[in-house]
Amino acid sequence: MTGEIKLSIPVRVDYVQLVRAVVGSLAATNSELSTARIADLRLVVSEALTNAIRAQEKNSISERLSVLCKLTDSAIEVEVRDNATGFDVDLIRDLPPTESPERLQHERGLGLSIMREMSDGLEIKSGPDGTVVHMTINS
Amino acid sequence: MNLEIHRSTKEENVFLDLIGDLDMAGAPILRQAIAQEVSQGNIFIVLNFSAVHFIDSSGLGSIIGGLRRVRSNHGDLFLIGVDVELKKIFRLCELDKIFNIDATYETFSG
Repeated sequence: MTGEIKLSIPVRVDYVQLVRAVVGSLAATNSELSTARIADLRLVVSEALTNAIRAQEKNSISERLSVLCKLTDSAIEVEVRDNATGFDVDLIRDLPPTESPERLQHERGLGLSIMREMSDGLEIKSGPDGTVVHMTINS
Repeated sequence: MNLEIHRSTKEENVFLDLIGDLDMAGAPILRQAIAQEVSQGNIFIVLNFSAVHFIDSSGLGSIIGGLRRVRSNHGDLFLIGVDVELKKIFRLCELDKIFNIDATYETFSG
């Protein structure tokens, strides 16, 4: 089964769970996508949307976020778009080693590596007009 | 559902049973609950994940922050009931090196 949905999301944290549910439900209509892969999908979508909400909240931008979800026979693609001021992916610093006491000082910084590890394709385009995160999960 | 927390105590340990998703919406709820316990002198906290089936980096961050808070007060934070899917994420982020993710309720009820 193939299909496409587009969601327009208010900049509110309680919508993250709803988007996970909607995207997960669409993915579940493709019998080729396993439960584990759908769990991966829900996770990367949550990470992307969390980053988008944080970016807009930081800049007090209330314009809605958009989530585009395309289901093909062999994959699901999700695009999360925000309207914040963008960031430079290359400037994101690595976290201290897990064994280091310093590691406990960092509560954030795991989202990008989770998206990289759990998706089969991750593309981030960021600029002064916003950021688009495109993720692919293969069956 | 958004995160709910049910509290109980056994000896010096405070058990916080987490129910729901531990994400951007749930993380501040957990963070506040741990801060409240520590402010009351309860520094040995057991987080029961039996009814948590989703966690993301925001949720992981709240646990790391909780651990830092209790340890800075000479306490500790333990996790029990972490399911297979959640363990995968803890391992991916190498947080299984900080927390024992295989503990069960029996570990603390003996």
